[in-house]
Amino acid sequence: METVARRRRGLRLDGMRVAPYLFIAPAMVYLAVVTVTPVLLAFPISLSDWTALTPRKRFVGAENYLRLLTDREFLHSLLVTAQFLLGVPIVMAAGLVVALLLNHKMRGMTAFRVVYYSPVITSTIAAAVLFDWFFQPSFGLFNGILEAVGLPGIGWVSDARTAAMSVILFRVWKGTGGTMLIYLAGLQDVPAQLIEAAQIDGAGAWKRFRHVTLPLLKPATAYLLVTGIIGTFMIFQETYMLKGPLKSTDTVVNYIYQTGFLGSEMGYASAMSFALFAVIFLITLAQYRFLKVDVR
Amino acid sequence: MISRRTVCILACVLCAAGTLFAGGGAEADRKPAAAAPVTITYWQHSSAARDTMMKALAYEFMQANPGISVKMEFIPEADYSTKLVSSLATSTGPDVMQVESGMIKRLVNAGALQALDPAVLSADRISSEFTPATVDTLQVGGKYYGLPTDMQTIVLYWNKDLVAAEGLDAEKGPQSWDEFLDWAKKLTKRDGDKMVQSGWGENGYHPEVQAFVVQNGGKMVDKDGRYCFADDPKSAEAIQWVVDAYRKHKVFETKFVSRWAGFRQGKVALMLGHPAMLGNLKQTAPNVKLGIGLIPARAGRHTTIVTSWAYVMAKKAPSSAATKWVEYLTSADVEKRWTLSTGELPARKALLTDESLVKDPQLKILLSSLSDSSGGYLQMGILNSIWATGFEKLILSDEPFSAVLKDMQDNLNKEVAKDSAK
Repeated sequence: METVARRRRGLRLDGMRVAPYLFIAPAMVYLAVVTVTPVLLAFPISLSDWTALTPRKRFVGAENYLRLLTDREFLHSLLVTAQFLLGVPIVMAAGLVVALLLNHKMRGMTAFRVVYYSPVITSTIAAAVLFDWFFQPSFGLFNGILEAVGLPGIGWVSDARTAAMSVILFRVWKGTGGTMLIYLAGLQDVPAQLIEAAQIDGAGAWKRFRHVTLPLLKPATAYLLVTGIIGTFMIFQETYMLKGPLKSTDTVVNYIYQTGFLGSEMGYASAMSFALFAVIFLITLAQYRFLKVDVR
Repeated sequence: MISRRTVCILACVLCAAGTLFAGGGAEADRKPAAAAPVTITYWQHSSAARDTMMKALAYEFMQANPGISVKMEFIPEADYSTKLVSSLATSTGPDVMQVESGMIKRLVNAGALQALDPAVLSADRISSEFTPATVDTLQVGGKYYGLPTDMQTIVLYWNKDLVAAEGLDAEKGPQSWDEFLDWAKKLTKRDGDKMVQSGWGENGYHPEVQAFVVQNGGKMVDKDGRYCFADDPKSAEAIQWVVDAYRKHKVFETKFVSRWAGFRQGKVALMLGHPAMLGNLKQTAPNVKLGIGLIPARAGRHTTIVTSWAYVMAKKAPSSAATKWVEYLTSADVEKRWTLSTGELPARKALLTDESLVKDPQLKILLSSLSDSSGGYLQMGILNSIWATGFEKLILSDEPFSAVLKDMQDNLNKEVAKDSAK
């Protein structure tokens, strides 16, 4: 009897040990197949001269990586990509403001949340086509608004000086809903007692936000900052569709795509992808070190 | 703790960056040949009109060739090149496919294509039955590796209302370079410094500029196939003429409006463009009264540039059956149906004077553009991209004309050198 009971206990124990792994198994399998495996396969490709037009590959060692060091186009694309980092705090600030406005228990608030979140689930390509029309200098919506308030129209995407700003504007529209959702979740975790205590101590709305709410949102802020910067280095669809003149919106990923799929240099494109990975990794590591945050 | 965190970050970044490679895993569905004696798999980029027509053609072909079965796959145009490259890379591509004609040499050098079967269709027949400009670029080493589809030339479109309002001949259109530039200047309107109407929506689209180069007696490439336009005075002169229209005569501003969007909106008076735009404009700009003519001439030459895609056969394709399918797709009967239903130009010489086609006056003009035509030299995505980027510098930056032109030439030569290096 004791043996049977122990066996049952063991099974239950095993079940408890196994269950979490079963729950995460689908996601892990998915990641292993569509993310980790291609990454692992891409590394040997980065050491080859593969054209992608045939299965034939020739090992070239570190040649592709050394070429990167003198490739001005790659450096230019990194600098162009870095411009878009400006959009990260703007998206975060916009998301925070919207989350603060929507963090009230009022009738119809869910509808507003859906409205603000809807750009996130809208196809980037479809939305970019629409924005391309909005950005049209002579009959677009945005210049129409500027002119209606007495300001001169600008070139938006068609002008190298304003093209990156236009893409940032698009990304703010597209990304605000996502940051809003994270901040909204963070705001709902802020203990009401702390807010009430601050209120009793005489703190005004700004002081309560500045000294109570904002510090408690630090994990959400850190998460959004880290993922926002990673996402910025991976911009592709927006700049593929909203292409500015004189390479003003040609990001690293655009350059990787062009080199690999148009220029038939998949080996070199893979090397660039690993270089980009190294840049993102170092920046992310630095953020963790300097921000000294724990997002768990 | 630090190492755990580092591993955590590494995993996080790896997952995010990994999406870069996610596309690499795409593979075409390819099943073993069916019971039919020979099965050909065929890919083309998709559009509703093309897909319907192609299905009908495949059915008719299989009826006429009972031993051959055609299995078709239609791929959205935006994904087509990426999917094709992925499939070639893994030897899972189709037997017959459409590619940009400029890709043929690269694919042949990579060992991905086979020549058309001369027992089915000889080189002599191809050169005698097709317009030279449509097939010259499909040869490598004296063998034809494909036959043309989606032929386009460059013709002139104008907005009759805008032209007539300026007191110009809205029925005839400008005939020479000088007349064309004169019209473009007259039709450009400004309110103070602000452009309110463009005379000619031009930004250096490569076949337009190449046409002017050829008309001017210039050469885009030398006898070895290397780009030489920057070193050729006649070519440089023609390119300078186009650049001057933008910079000196200010007939267009990229900041004013997108070219075709502006034409549809009645804000651009003259446009050079492909014949396929005729059908498009009839649908998207029904209110624009459209004039159509040949590209303006220098010294009486209206020479235009042909750009095209091509039907090609993979190395592994069943040679005879695949060549028969390609020949059928470019037969006179099929080309005529394509022209009537989609507005695409035919490549066969016999159709240029076909009565059922030339009875439409607009189609007659489009067909006549093929009579004096030359093959394009930038018919590959990466070459287009290099040209477009360089031309933007010519019209939008203050870098010296000759230096930019030389840079464009060098970059194009570096790209084509990849083909000969393999």
